[in-house]
Amino acid sequence: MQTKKITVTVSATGAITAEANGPGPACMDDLAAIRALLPDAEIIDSKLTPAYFQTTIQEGVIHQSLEHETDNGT
Amino acid sequence: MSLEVLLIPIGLAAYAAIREARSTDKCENCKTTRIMDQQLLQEALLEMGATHLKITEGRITGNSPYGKITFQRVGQVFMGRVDRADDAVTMNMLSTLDTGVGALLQRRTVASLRARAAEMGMILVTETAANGEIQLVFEQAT
Repeated sequence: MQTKKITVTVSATGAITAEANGPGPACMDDLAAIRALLPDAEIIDSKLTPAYFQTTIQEGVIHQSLEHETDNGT
Repeated sequence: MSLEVLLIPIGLAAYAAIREARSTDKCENCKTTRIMDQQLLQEALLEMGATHLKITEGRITGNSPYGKITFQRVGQVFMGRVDRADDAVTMNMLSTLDTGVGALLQRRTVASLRARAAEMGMILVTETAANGEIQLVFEQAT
């Protein structure tokens, strides 16, 4: 079983920042979870963080590595 | 996967709406606020120490520690002033009001978050307060 983590920071001005970290490229699931957690707020901006790209790159490297091993029959 | 989302509570205006608000003859010498919701404005005024509030649709007047006050909805947001006072007095009052609005919304958001997370089966792992910010970390099994 894997765990999704959502960090919510509420500033003194009332502005809210929510960050979702979890397994897999499940953007829409994460966005839905954040929306459900904060029904009385509206989203004004969203972005993928460097951690996302790091994960994607790492997954790409693993994928390429596996293909290479398969090509070599290893 | 990592996604970051910026949100504002319903009742507060985004920057564009605040920028578009201008003083009008309905509220001469008024300065803009970021408040869109009249109920939120009323509660923040009471928290600021305002009394004898007279409330009609889109307009609130009353007394405050700064003097008599007038708020009028102009476009999407409320604008306000201290009646017959210098701009500096109005700005001072609006600054105090804005701080109160932030504190009010922060309390509400945190309380709502705890309740919603419990309903969704999420676990509150940590809750910390520092530099005026409150941070809550939730976990959910996937």
